[in-house]
Amino acid sequence: MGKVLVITSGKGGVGKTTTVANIGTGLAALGNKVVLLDTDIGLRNLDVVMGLENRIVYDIVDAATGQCKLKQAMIKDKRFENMYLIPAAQTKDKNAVNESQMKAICEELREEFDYVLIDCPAGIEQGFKNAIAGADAAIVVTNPEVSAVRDADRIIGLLEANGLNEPKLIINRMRANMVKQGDMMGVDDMLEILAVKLLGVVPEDDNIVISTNRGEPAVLDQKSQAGQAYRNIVQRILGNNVPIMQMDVEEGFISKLLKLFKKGN
Amino acid sequence: MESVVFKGSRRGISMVIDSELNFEDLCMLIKQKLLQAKDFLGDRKKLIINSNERLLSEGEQLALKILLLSLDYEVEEFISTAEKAQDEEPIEIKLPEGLEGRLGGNLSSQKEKLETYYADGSTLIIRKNIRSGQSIDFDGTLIIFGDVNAGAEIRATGHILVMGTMRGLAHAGFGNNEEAVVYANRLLPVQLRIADLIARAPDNEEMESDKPEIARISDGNLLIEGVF
Repeated sequence: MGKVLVITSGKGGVGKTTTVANIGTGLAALGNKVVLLDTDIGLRNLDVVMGLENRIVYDIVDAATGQCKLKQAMIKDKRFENMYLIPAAQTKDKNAVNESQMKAICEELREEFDYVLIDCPAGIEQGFKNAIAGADAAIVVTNPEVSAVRDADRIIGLLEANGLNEPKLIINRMRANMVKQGDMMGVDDMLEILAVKLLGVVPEDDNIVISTNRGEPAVLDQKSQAGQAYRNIVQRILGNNVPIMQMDVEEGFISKLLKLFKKGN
Repeated sequence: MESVVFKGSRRGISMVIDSELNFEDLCMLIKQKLLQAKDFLGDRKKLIINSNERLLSEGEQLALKILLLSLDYEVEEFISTAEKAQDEEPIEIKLPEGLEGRLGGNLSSQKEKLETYYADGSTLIIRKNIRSGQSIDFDGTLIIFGDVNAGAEIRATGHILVMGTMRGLAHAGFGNNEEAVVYANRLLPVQLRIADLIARAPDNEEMESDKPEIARISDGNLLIEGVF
């Protein structure tokens, strides 16, 4: 019996889809059987991020409403044989499926896969309700911004009200130098407000933009800092204890020199 | 052993607490015991709280004062052997000027006013974080063990006590109870309302709070001050 994890955030644009793509790919790279489920009906993205858009024939709405078999809607990944994507429909809307249909899909998928990762749409309406209906656990993605944290707090409350207790938090797009200067919320500030367990901190990384546009998840890029953060998150999902990456800002030569002078005083 | 028992002595009735329960559970237990002991206690409304080896923090003492008050009792004094070891004098809770009368001690003058709000003796104890988008309305006193986050709204006809950080909107004394107070271990609300007064956070200042504070109405103004 596999695990069904929903990746959600409340606010849009914080990196849910990127997170799903990277965690899924990371889990698959380690040999797990993974299926990614895009529930953002009408605004599908996960297929693009995975570079699988051109292979779509059937989608989640077809599978949910019995237009096709679930197996027919599953697209095999380009890189990993043990990973599949079930895309969202682009020409329908969130009301095209309901919670019990979603539950049934999740139950069917967990029989065959180790991990079912659900990409949840932004918002708290039907799309959100569908996405969490069949999940065992939730991962909340947020950014170090007051508005994103506020929405994460709202989502955590809604998750708890729906029996998804103790969601884990991923803080995405962290910029260590801005935190240091006091211009951005730090990890501790956010954990204090949200009072949930931290699953990982992903630094802002230009490679993510490049890899997302190319449809190649950063988790496979050994040089990418964000990729390393995602690999650590994958390890934690697998139950391994990996310390949170310390993101120290590299000091320039001048500032080091200045510090030396200050010490001299 | 987890127990709360009542004992009589020359000095009066003591509620003896012999418990290592966490404070939330202790509050629940005390409330339950007080309701059970209603007949035994009769009209003896002033209680000494003896917490034996347990040392109650100032915030906890305040919470117990309000809890008892909401059930129509008063705390005469707090004693504990833990404190006595260093100091023979029983500890006395110090409340800001004017508040002592309201929350315990010499209540006589203010009591009639208060009773109208606590006639039903209702206190709601909540043990969780109240998150953005969640709201609580209660007819009575509300004690929350947890944080109230920004975007959350809590409303009570009586007092509001937050044994955590208060970042959301609190409205105590809903329905024009000007005696109500809002207490929090860290009071950082977006907006604070008591009875029909509204105060908001300053615009271009970051709020800081590193000590318990209490908000109440004083001379028609909403006043926030340190508790101890």
